[in-house]
Amino acid sequence: MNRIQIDVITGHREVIELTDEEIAQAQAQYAQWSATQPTKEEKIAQLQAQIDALNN
Amino acid sequence: MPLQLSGTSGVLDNSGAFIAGTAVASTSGTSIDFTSIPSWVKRVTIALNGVSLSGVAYIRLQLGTSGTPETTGYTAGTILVNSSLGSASVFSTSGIDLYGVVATYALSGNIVFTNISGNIWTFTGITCNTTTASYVQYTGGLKSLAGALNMVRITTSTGTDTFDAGSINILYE
Repeated sequence: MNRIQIDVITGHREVIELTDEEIAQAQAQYAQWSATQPTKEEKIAQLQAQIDALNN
Repeated sequence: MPLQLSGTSGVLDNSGAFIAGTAVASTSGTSIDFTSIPSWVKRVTIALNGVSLSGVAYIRLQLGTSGTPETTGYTAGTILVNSSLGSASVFSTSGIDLYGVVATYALSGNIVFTNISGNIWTFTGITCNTTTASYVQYTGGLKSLAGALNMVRITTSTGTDTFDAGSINILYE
């Protein structure tokens, strides 16, 4: 995993490998994000509600 | 304030002028940082050209000081409007979140940051899914930085998705 860094003054572009700590933070962030996402069943229910609203 | 040049530090003040960077390909990496933004800057535009992610995360923009992005304290809202499916909205304190929707979609448009006073910045933007032209997003909000703005990070809400298409540029004045 890496990030791209561009210095706006010099235009220098650098690809920086993430440190182990940054990777751990990203993985923790992903786990947190994933936990907030609706399940497949919840998504189906949301879509069904939208369909029902269109039919009414 | 007029143009001020320094033999050692370059442009010290250039208020009123408009400086464009060189577009960078957003085809890899988990984040793209524009660093060394001068302290005299009052407005920053981030231009997205067909930017896409590997997953369904939000594309997240963050402001930073001293080379480090601030990850909290944003008051940012985005509403997505689709002509057939209606609308959806996201509010975030971690940055400015833009819907990626699905991995095959690409986002184009501009986000503009404006300095109100001190280290307080407001932002506004309109972006569109340019893969299918199926939705448009409006975003706006506020961020008070701990110090002078000197960087902008474009990243993702998951921290693990990667950029896989498009280009991004910065313009400042």
